[in-house]
Amino acid sequence: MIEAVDLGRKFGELTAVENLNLSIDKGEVLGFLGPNGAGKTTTIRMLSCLIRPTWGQASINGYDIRKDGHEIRKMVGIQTESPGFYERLSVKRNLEFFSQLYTASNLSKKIDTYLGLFDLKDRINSPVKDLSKGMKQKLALTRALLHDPEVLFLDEPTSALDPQAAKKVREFIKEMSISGRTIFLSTHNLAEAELLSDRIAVFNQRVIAIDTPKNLRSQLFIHKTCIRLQYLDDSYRRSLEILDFVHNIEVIDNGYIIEIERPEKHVPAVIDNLVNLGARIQHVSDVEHSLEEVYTTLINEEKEMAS
Amino acid sequence: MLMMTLMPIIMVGAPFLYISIILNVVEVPTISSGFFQRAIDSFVSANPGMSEFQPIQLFQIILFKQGAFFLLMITIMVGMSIATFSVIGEKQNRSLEPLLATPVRTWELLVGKVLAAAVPALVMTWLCSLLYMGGVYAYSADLFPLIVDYTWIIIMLFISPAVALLSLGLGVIISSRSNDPRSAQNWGVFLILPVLFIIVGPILGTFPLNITSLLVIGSVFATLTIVVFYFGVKIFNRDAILTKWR
Repeated sequence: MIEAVDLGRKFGELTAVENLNLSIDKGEVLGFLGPNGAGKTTTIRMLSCLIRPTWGQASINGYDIRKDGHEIRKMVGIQTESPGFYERLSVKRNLEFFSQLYTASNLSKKIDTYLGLFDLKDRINSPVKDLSKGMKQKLALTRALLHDPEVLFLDEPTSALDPQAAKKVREFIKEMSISGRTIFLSTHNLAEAELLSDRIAVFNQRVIAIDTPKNLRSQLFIHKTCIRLQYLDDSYRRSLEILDFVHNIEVIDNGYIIEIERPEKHVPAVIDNLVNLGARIQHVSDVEHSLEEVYTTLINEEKEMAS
Repeated sequence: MLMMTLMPIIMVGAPFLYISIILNVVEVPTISSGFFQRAIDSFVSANPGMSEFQPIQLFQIILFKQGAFFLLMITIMVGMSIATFSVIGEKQNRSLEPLLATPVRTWELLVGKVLAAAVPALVMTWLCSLLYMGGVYAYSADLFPLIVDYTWIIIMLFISPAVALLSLGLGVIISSRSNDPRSAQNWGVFLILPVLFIIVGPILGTFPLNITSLLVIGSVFATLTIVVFYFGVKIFNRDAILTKWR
């Protein structure tokens, strides 16, 4: 659906995006994570044909971003960084205006549906200048959806929203992806990215890593398992230390956190070992590294390499 | 806003003011000599049927007819104040990026911007024209049919829209190339100076005020409008507008 090959953009001497390579399937949600100034907005602008790349190629649904801007803009919905409305016009008039540029059909029904969904129905005749920042953001999402785009570019879609509204928007994004829309989600909210994204791209001028959240964790960190026992004994720890697939043992209140290679194979062996020594196991669980740890590790490694 | 209200009042009132000043200050023999006589001679040669009128009457007819060109100033100035703000204003309001993200083509955007400036400017001009015609009728019902004739209709219905489209096309292009509204408006005023040539042309005797010259002038403006739009579309750089402006 979205393909980018060595896509890059320079502003004068500054390279904002350097050789972006990615492929996003139809119906996939790609979480696009990166620090401020990483080039996320520039990437979205290039892919949605707002600005031209300095080098490289990209296509959306087979349309070339260099040649087929008009076709791409028809099939793409974009929620820009700043909402950008005609402040003195009403909510309804703004939506009607932009929809007419997309020649959207069933307009009034869609406006009603989306404004109802985002709790903006009672503000339909209010001038946009009277809306809060969060309301404008929801309105910008509504605007991006009115022409039923196949691809959605969302730039920080929940950044100004209260928790309840943000939850609603996330649920809605999930529904959109289930209905087959391809979503490019740029966000700083790591929990949101993990919740919504099929894959995550960590980006800082170039893609540092791209994979499912689970695979990113396993690539970066050795698996950890938490084993809670009724009581601890030194012999238990010693028996674990001699196992060659156990890398590290951290003693906690009533158990151990153990770093294990290939957990699906070796966790049962660890448990057998403990049971044979008479240990009374209460609970075994995986210890997951947060996406924040994944992100921070990747960005720090990138910085170290660069320096 | 000042431009939208003050300019029409000045332009409608100016010919009446000039005539009353000249008739009260300048003596009739002065009108029949020098600059004034050249304007009268040029007018009579373009309109031979007017030769029977007295110089003072001819002078009034010329000045009142000139009112049509003063009204063109309303079209230009009111339209320019909207047009020069059209693209840079969207950038400032941050509505330009969502607008450029739509499938709207560059020529559609430019035509839309020009029409959005031209329609209010032309409506304002035509309303002022009605007001002016009322004033002329009240001043002299005898001279009214000589002043509001076919040339008046051509100026209002052909030259005025042609001038509006040309100058506002320039205004929108300037707006799309400027970094702030103030410089856009300064450039706008500078670039419409050639357009003002037609306002003073008949007075200076540069060209006669008759149907042929008016149709030629209108056609030149219409042709220039097409050329301006063509280049406007070519030089409209979405990328630069979104990335270079702050």
